[in-house]
Amino acid sequence: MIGKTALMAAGLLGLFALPALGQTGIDRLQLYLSRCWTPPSSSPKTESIEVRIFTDRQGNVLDAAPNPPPGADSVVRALGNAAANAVRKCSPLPMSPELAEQVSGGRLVFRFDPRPLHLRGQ
Amino acid sequence: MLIRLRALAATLAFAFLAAAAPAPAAAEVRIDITRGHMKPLPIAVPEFFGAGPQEGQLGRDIARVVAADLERSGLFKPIDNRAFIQSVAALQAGPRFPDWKQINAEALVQGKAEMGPDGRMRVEFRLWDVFSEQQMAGQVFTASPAGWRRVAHLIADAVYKRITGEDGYFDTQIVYISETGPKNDRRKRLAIMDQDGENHRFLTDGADLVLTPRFSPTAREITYMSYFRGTPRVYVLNIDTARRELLGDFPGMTFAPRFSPDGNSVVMSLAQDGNTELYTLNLLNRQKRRLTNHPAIDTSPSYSPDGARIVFNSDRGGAQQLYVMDSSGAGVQRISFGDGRYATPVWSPRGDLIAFTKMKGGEFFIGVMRPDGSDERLLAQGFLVEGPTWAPNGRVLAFWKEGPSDERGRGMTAKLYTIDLTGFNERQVVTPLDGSDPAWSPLIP
Repeated sequence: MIGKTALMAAGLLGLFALPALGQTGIDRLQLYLSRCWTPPSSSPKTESIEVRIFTDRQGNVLDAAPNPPPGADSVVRALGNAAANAVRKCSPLPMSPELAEQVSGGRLVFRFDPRPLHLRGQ
Repeated sequence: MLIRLRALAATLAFAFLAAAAPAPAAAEVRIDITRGHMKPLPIAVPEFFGAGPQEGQLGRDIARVVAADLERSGLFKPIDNRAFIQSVAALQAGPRFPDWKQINAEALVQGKAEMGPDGRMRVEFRLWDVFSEQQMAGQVFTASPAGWRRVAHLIADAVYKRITGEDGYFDTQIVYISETGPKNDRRKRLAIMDQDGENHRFLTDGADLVLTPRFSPTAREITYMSYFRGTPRVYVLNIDTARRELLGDFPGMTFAPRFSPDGNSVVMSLAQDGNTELYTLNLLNRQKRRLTNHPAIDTSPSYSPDGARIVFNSDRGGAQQLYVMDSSGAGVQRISFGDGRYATPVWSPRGDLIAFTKMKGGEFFIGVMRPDGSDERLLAQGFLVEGPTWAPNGRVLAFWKEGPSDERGRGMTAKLYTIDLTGFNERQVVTPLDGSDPAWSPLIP
């Protein structure tokens, strides 16, 4: 809890260089979640994973459920676990009033895609 | 408690209402996250609990090796034990997750070591997800106390597998050529060690030059080339019995051996009358079979994991390049077309990639490509880097680097290294003397 509070405080103080207000709420959320997400493997896999989340209007994550496709292998399941943890770790999410209104009760789907992550020699 | 229950009920009611309420058309927002931290996962590995002095020492040793294995993979960052809030003894009653969240641990490995009345140790561990507060894995091992290091590697493999989804590679060995002496008179011996450099021992005495050791699929035998009595020939050595056997009655010089995936044959090069071709020797009936028939030098063969194909290097196109053929020798196809020369190809145990040494512009590189030659990536480079070998999970490579031993370019030194497929986690494997030509074992049976 202290870590979470410190994270919020640091964000408010601008230590994480949150995007300017002119950027959309989705941009802010993308950047914020990227900082919490550690892909779990060195594997250059090509799969992505969806995480369905429920939040309140303050951005507190009430539930985060990865949604691996049927028959997903252990690497994809591990990716889902790490993605769900990224959302939990980032809670509360920086939900702008506009975004909170847009999702109407806080239903969001994040698609975590490790493919664009850099590999040496590409 | 009542307050907590009410809060929970309110939360559940809110979630239910949010889920059940009629959703407007734009109720679901989908967001792509494509930028993550390529940083190691913070993990806490406190010493394993032990009630007595012997158990306590085992617990400390096992936790130290587990943490070191995970750290070396580059995917985990073990947290300094001095930061831990919950004590090892208190942890036995269950993790206090806020204590572990406070020190930014994302995973927690909890363990316990006990000695049984039969003199065997019983080691159990649990892997906890600190954020979901759920147990992710747990296992019990029973072994002789002398096997504590292997138990630690098995636990590290289980943690690695559960968190990354990839198979582990810590319960493995590396055989390599231990070198010492001046460049023009190197003493070369077969040596074997655990993948972390521990349990090191020599397998030959250095009387004869030895090269290119390769493990059998059972990891109990090694095939290699030796200049025993001055003639380069391929041998098989049983690690447990130290029994050595000459492989095949070939008329010329044999070298660059490698076992087939089923362990029933060895493919190698035979140099005879100025020509070098690939042959297999069936270990069951001792029959040899010629695979290639070309005036060029064909060498460094390596099987695909299903045994159906072989990759090798040949200068049949004018320069050293990589070729793939059926294991019968039919259907030879060139797969490398980049600038420079390619050598020492090794098929990944997963079958998805081929590792190689590349020479270009006076520099050496370790790289990987797909079996059809596409998607070439160069992972490591240096004055001389050579001889990649795959960890059994197909996600880490070992190789060796050679260079001058001082800043003035005098002498020579050779060291072993590992690198993962991202190309960003290069680590030296410390050996007592210089080392070259490593071969990574399969998981120890």
